[in-house]
Amino acid sequence: YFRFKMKLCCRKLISPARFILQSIQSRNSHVNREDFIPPNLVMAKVNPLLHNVTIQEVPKISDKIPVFRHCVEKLPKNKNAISVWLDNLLHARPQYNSVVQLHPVLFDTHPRMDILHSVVRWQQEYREVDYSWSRTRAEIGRGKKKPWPQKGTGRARHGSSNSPLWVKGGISQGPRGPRASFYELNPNTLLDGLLIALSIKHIQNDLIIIESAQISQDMPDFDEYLENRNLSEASMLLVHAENENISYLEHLAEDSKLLNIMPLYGLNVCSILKHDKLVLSRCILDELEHKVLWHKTRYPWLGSPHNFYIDMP
Amino acid sequence: MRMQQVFRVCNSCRHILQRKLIQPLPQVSQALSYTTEPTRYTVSYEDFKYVQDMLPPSRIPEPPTHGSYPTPSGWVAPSEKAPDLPYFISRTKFHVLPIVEKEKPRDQPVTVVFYIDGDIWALEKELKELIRPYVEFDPATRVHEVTRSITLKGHHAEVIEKFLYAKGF
Repeated sequence: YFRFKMKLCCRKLISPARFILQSIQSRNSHVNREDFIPPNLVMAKVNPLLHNVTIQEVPKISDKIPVFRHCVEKLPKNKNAISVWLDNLLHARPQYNSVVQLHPVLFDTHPRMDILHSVVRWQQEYREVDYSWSRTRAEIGRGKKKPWPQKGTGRARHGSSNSPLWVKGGISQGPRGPRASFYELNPNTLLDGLLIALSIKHIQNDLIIIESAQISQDMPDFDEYLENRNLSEASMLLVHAENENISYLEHLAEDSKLLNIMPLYGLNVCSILKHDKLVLSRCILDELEHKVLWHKTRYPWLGSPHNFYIDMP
Repeated sequence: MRMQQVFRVCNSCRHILQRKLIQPLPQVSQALSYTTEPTRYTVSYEDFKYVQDMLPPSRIPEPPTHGSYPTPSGWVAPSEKAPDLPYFISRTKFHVLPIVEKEKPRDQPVTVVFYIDGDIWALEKELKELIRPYVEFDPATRVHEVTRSITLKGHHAEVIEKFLYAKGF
C-alpha cells in the first residue's frame, strides 16, 4: 500500500500542472475549450490587432477650440483644467467642435488602488446577510435519555446522543443565525474611491461627455452612433441629471444589453468599474464638481453643536 | 429608627395631601375661561437678515491677505503661482503645510510630510541634506510613493516648515 501511494506521489510530482488542470477542468466546463482565454487576460473587447477595425484618430485639443464649459470651483495651483472633447448623441459621426473643461481634483487624482479596493469591498459586503445556521446540541430535539448504562457494556461512556462527538449530533461553534456584514466606511474614503474611479476612467480613455441626455425619437440610429465610435461591443453607463427628460433614452436602455442609465445621485464606484465606458451628461458636471469640492473644503465638525450654516447644501 | 421616623413623617404628609385633594376645587369664573378663536398674527421675514449674519459658513474660507509674512502666529501664505520645481506640496484644507510630528512606530520620534506631487525622490534628497546638520548619524528617511509621503527620523517639523515656506509652498 505504501509503495502504491509513493507511485501516486511520484506521478503527481512529475506533472503537477496537469493534475491541477484536470481538477479545474472537472469543475469548470468552459475551460475545456482550447481557445479559451481567461477574462482577466483579455485587454479590450475590440482588439485592433485581431479584428480589422479602422481606428479613427482623435484630433489633438488646441487653445483655439471654443470651450463649452469652464470649471466652477477653484483649481489647485499645480494642475490645469483637463479639456475633453464634447460629444453629442444626435451626431452619428463624432464632430470635434467644442471642448469641455473638467476639474483636476475629480478627474486627475492619484490612483490609490488600496482605497479603491476598500470601497469596492465595502459596496459588495455591507448589503450581504449570512443566513447560515446550525443546530446546537440543545436544539436537536432528542437524546434526553442515557443511550446505554455507564458500566458493564464495554462501550465508551455517553450521557446523550446529541453530543457533538456523535454522528447527527449537535454542532459546536457553528454558524448561528442571520448575521449582517454591515459596516460603515469613512465618508472621506468613500469620496476618494469615487474620484479615483472617475480619474481611472479618464486616464484609460473610457470617459465620454455628451451635450445632453435629452434625445427625441427622430434622432439618428443609435447603433450607427456606436459603430462610428467603436463602441458597439462596449458596455456603457450613462449618467444624466435629474431634470433631464430621458423617456426615449429609457427605451434604448431597455432594448440594449450593454447600455445602462443612472441619475447623478446613483453614481457609485462598483457600477463605474463594471462598465467599459462612462458617459456623463454635460448637465451633471457643475453639480458634481460643486458637491465634491464642497466636501473637500468643508469643516469636519459640521452638524455639531448645531446644523445651521449659510451655505449648507 | 431614623427610617421609621422618615416613614412616619411621609405618612402624615400623605394624609395632608389627601385631605387637600378631597377639598372641592375653586370654580373658575367665566370671564377667565379660554376662547376657541385663533390668535391673530402676521409673518414677516424682514428681521431674518440679522439671523443670517450670525450663521457661520460650512466651507473653510480662503485666508485673508496680510501686509507682511510671517503673521504673528507664524503662518505664511503660499506663493500665487506654483514654484518651478519637480515636486509640489499642496496645503491641507486648513491652509497649513501637511507636516506631522509623531512618536510612531515603537515610540520613535518621526516627522511625516504628506500631499507630495511630482518627483518625490528629488524632495527626499533635499530634505536629507536639510536635516543632516541636526542629526548625529546619517539621516534616515522613508519614501512612500503610494501614499505620497516622506517619513524622516526625528522631530524636524520646524526646519522643514521654514524650508518649504522659503520655496513658496
